[in-house]
Amino acid sequence: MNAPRALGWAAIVLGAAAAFAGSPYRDNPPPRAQGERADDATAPLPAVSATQLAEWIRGRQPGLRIIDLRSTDAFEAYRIPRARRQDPDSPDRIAVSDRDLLVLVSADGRIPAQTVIHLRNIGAREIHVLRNGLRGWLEEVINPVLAAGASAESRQRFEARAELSRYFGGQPRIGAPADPSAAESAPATDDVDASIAHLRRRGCG
Amino acid sequence: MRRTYADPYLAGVALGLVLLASFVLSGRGLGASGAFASASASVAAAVDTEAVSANAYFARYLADGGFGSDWLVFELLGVMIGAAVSALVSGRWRAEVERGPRLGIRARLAWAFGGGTLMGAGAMLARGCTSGQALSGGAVLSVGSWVFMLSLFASAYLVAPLLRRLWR
Amino acid sequence: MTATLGIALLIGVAFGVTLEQAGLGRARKLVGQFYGTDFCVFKVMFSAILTTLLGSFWLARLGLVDLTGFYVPETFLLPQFVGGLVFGVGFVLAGLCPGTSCVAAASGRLDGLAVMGGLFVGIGSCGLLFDRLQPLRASTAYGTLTLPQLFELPYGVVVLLVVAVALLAFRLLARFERPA
Repeated sequence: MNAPRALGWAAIVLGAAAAFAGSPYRDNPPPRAQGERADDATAPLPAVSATQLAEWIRGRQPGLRIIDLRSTDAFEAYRIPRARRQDPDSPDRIAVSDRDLLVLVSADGRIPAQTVIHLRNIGAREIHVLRNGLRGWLEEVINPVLAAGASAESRQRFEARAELSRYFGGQPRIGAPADPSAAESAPATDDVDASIAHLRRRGCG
Repeated sequence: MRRTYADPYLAGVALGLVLLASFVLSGRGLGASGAFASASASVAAAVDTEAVSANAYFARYLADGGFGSDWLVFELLGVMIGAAVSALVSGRWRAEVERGPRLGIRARLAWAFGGGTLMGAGAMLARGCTSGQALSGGAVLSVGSWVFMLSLFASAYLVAPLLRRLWR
Repeated sequence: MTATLGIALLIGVAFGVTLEQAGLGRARKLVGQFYGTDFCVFKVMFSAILTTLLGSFWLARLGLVDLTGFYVPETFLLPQFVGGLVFGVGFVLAGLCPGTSCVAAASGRLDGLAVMGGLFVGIGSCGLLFDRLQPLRASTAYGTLTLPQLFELPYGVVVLLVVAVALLAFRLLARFERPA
């Protein structure tokens, strides 16, 4: 048997074994919701920070499903990587399994109660809501700002977040936002476009 | 002095091991077109610094220190060293213009330059070339890299019969 | 020179040697794939992809490397599709791609040098037109999206599928190859 043929068989064996070998990603179990399964279906959902969600996406958290409840237009304009859109007015079209780790995304972090009730009824166990919604994502992950006179310690913490931010094409900045009131208002579409335009350059082009 | 080329499958496995080493040692795959982008950014900056710092595409390449400290530039420099040594050792180094039997030297160089320009434009839009996207991105199963790979080969196979004159 | 750049240089040397030894520094050998005479490019490229794919899967599965540390190029569907179409035409005209043009130039082929010049001009002029091109270049962004995520299949199953398709293609190519 010549060498290329032997390598071909090796590829078949390793490939076939790979299909049954499970996930190649390291386990990074999500923190379980406090108090476990609340019996009250309307109990508030545990919130997850945008940074935590970003870590889950980057770490390919198994079972992670990001459900975006915003309008189609808003979703088309900008979406969190891996997010799927879902109309909050027809939650019955959402299909989940009890192993899914759901993260609900709205514009501001508020989720309609009927969506939550429906998700719990169809067996979703891990339901989280993205804190401050898409605005939180843009402020924390895409455009994090470190105050100009920050201490060395917070500067160090910021570096970790900045690295995460660049992974998602964000623009971490040091220094106060130019206009403090601008940071409060919902980000304009232009900001969103600018954010995705500056993707981290590690690739070939 | 061996003049015949290596078995393509064995060469491919060797290339795969190089790519794997690149991922393990530097966390990134191989590339080529990015080095050209870095070079053009540095040249543009030498001509007109102000205009280039206003250009977001070039500015990113200059932000990391420019041409002299770019990972891909050093990698591509290594490619040229490795290829030259390999060609010399195997007795294949020869100054010539590779061309189809029906093409003159000048025409071949002109088409080569034109082809390079188009590939440059394609690589700029796609954020990578055959090395960075198709090979490296393909091996880590990036959807965009596979889209690029399929559309590049589809387009090449579609136009190749029309350009037969260049090569046959 | 920092250690990172030293590693870059070494990896580049190994890259250059394997490409040259495979014969991928010669335009006429490369274009053989488009005229059915020599599928060397496909064989080299896909054996490399399979090697890296299987190598990275098993190294990660055995806990020796962290797969999330591997840079996955972000997906921009439309520009990558359009870029591929443009790139493909250039590939047939040049007979070399960016990496192999450097191999060709370094082994004395002047056409490789011409391709390198074209690449420099092509990327440079697109850089100058950045403001015009960026709306397309940044459109249809999906972030880091992998085939396992897209098809909602386990990573290992996608690995097996890619291996199976590539090996099948190797067999078929051997049948269609008509050496000139």
